[in-house]
Amino acid sequence: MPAESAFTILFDGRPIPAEDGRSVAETLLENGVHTFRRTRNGEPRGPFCNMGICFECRMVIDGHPNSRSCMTPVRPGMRVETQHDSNIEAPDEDR
Amino acid sequence: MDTADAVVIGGGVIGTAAAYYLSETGRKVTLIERNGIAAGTSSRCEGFILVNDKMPGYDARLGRLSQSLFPGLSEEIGFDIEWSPQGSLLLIESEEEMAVAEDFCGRLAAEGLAVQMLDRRRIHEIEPHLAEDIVGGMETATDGAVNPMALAQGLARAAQQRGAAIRTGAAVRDIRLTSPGKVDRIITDGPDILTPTVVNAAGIGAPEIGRMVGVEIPITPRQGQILVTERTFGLTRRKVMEFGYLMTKFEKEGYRRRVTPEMEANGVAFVLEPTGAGNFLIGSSRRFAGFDTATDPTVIRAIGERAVRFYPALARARLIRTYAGLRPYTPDHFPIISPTPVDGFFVAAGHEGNGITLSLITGKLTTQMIAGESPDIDLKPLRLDRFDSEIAHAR
Repeated sequence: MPAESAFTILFDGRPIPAEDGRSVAETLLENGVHTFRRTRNGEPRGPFCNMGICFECRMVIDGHPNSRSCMTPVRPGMRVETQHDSNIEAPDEDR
Repeated sequence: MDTADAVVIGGGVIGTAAAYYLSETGRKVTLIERNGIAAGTSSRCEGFILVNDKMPGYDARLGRLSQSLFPGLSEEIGFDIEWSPQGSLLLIESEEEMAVAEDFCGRLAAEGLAVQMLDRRRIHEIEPHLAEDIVGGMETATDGAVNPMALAQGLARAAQQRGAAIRTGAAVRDIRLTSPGKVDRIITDGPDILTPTVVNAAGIGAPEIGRMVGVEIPITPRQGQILVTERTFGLTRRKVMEFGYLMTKFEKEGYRRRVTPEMEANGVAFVLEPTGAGNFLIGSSRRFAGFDTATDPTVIRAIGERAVRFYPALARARLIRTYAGLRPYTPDHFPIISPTPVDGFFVAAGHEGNGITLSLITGKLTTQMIAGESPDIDLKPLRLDRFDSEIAHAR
């Protein structure tokens, strides 16, 4: 891993090592995260198709709910949070 | 050959409500539906139970009578119709509109409806996501919504528990009369049904059923398109519409909103329904397009643009699908709940965009009409023969 392309993202406030060119989903899976989202009944959900069509891996990314983590490339300092479907909050700019 | 005391044609919210109330009287009822329960207009609409969009007077009284039957219905039929009673809001764009709305609100209040005007400060307090320039609104506390598919399913099941037969996937081929004109039997693609009473609750299909017995019914499909968002953040819990929606609904002459030509041409007016599942349904449009239920990108874009004008944050909600439905339109916007020149042949159809709201009272009034009981409200304004001169003229 070349040093200049390695950085960290925040997952639920915790720093996680990331690498340029990878998706959020890939990065979290590499770091042992399996619960990306909780359904309205509280059941855990994570990536299923990993290609943008199943919408199971939706997370709150940089304040935006319902973001597909498998389709979102990581960026330095990105804030990624588990999405709780029972309590989705408005995007930052709409609060 | 089957027999029934009454046959209801049509398995939408109107037909199932008629079957539900008719079976309560001990009558042996058969409901016949060519597709499935709520397969037509009742699943291609929104679920509003509103009085805020009714004209003051008879229209508002009829709406309120029906609305008052909804809050207890889930318990009554043992089926969750997803009644959500958070009230409604009419949004007002300009001071000019405010004056018209205040007059409208005063007239609805005089009918005893739970309506009140909200000023600029108050409306933004209770609706933080609203566009900043909205000058006020009208709130109606008793308004709500249901899941119309659940409503029709629940009513059909409850009618069945009272002994009604529900035949789906069964088309009516013809209706035979005795001589002189009295209903005798229904020819179906299954067993025929011997019956003295038929309720034509076929909505946009009502004219076709009417023609089987030589009764002209002036109902035309009026298409509406709807956008469905993903489950997303709590933008609002209220049923919301722009005040201009009423003006497009009532086809007010001389009323002009600042909208694009596409919005004007397609009768686009903003309507928003938060569903029980957390999605939003966004409407609305009105146009005559025959029996076409395809959505159109121009109309969908216009509906979306209009919605974002009132709730800018909607621009960040994804759409998961769109659909179009066909409202059963009558020339004076009132439904037809009426006997006809054919003895035993009744009509309960033509509710345009008010069918979900008026479903329960329509079922009740239809039953009272057939049983010869005094109706909960005067049925004269809903009679089919009010169109006699127009029908003669069209010939």
